[in-house]
Amino acid sequence: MLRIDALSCGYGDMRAVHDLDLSVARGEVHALLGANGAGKSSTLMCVAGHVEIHAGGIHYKGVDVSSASPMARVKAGIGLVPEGRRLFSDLSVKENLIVGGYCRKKTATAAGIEEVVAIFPRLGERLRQRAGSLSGGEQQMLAIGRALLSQPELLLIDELSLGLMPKVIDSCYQVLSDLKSRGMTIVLVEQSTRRALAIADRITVLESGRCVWRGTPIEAEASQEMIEAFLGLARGDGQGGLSDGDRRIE
Amino acid sequence: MLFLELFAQGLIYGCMYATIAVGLTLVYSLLRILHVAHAGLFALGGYLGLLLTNATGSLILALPLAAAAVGVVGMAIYRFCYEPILHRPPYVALIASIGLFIALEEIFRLIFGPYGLTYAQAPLQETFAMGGMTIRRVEIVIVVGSVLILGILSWLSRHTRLGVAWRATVDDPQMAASFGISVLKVRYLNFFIGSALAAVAGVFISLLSNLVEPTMGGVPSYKALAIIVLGGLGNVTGTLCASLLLGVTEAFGTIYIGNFMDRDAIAFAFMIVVLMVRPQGLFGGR
Ligand SMILES: Nc1ncnc2c1ncn2[C@@H]1O[C@H](COP(=O)(O)OP(=O)(O)O)[C@@H](O)[C@H]1O
Ligand SMILES: [Mg+2]
Repeated sequence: MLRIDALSCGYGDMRAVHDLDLSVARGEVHALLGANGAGKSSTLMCVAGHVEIHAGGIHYKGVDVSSASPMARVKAGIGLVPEGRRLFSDLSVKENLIVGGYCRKKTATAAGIEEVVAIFPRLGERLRQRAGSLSGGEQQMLAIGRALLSQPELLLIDELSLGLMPKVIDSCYQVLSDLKSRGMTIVLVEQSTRRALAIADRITVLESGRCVWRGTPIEAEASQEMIEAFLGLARGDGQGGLSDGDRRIE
Repeated sequence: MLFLELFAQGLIYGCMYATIAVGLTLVYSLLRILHVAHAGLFALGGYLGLLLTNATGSLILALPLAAAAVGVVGMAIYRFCYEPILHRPPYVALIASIGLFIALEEIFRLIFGPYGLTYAQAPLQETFAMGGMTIRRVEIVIVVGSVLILGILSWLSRHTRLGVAWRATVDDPQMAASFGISVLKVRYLNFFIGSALAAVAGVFISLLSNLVEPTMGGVPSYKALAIIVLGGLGNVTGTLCASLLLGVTEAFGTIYIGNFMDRDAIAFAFMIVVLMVRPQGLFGGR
């Protein structure tokens, strides 16, 4: 579904990701872990077409999309839930969803909105409300809903649980596993390692823009200490550990 | 009675200011450029409106034609003047814009002559009495026309896909592009609408004074800048309110402080006072 070959990307002279190989099969959930500044967001944004490629390439469904525009990529089925949600805060919930479906036929939007409301009933009650006035959890739901409106086959999700209450995180993950069971391919960046391990099929750990570990959740449990060491490097407060990643307040 | 009359004057000028300033705010909110040359398009609109009216004898035909033509010129300005320098620091575009404005003034002088032009037969000058005031038809047209045009635009921006896409692009261009909105198309649309509005305002003022001249954009250029700063740069609602407020302030100021302060200086005195109290503008807050 997605194949990243020897990818180096960054911002001008600054290189955020070095020589990264990553391959995601259809229907798989791939977790991307790493300390702050490891290059996780840069990798996702590069796949979505927002970060300049220095070397290597990105293949999506067997097609080289390395030089495709963000617009072409969303049309091809790459959906993005960016770090910090980045909702259109002056637009209403419904208008955010309309923009989400902008690359599809107008007629598909109404059906898509109904679908999202079925998944997140709380959004249904707030369709006319400004997105900027929603709570953190609702904003994350809207960010996911907006991405779903673009009818993605590959969903890129950055920092799903960051800043959310455990109960809200639970419901977001419930939605992700539903999507997964319906065959959605997902690349997930997550601070909460425990959450990521519970849903992921494969895991890649980045450090300073390089892949330092890859494997399955079962292998990750086995080499727990090593991974914790990588994740703890930049943070040093244990929050990235396998056991207590959710201790964040809204 | 004087009060009512001054208020009506303020309203008329306020509506005209709003029609000019909204285009300026639109450009600023999308590109962070202070589009000084906008006032040149205002003057161009005045010229085209007058010449087309004189040629066809019909203002109703001339107004939309002038607006559309100036809209296209606005798009051309974006394409050939701003787009090549968008990646430079903002002052580069500002300098280009000022240069373009001066060039436009000189072009008008070269093509249409240094003296003003007037309508062969100025339309909408009939007067009638209303509430004890004498009002010209053109004054009614300005108020109703501005409210109607701006109201329709506001409605379109909320109830059409393109309108929603435009607002999303103003909010976060990168995200808008990543959901399949053509940012380029939105920019062209933005320049077309903003410039067409400036042209309409130019025609309005030409009807009000029965005169177009090469320098007619000068005063509106800095007044519109003062207005969008007051309105909280990039805030459309704020711009509308600031326009009306400035119109009314000027109208009353001319009577009560007109002895020692020129009408056109009031805008700046007003802006300075407001910015001392609220540096983010009257309606800024972001
Ligand atoms: N827009 C940007 N411009 C320049 N450098 C950036 C930008 N975004 C991120 N970086 C740099 O790229 C590196 C990787 O950042 P990022 O991908 O955000 O890491 P992560 O998401 O893993 O925390 C960091 O050193 C960061 O400072
Ligand atoms: Mg990040």
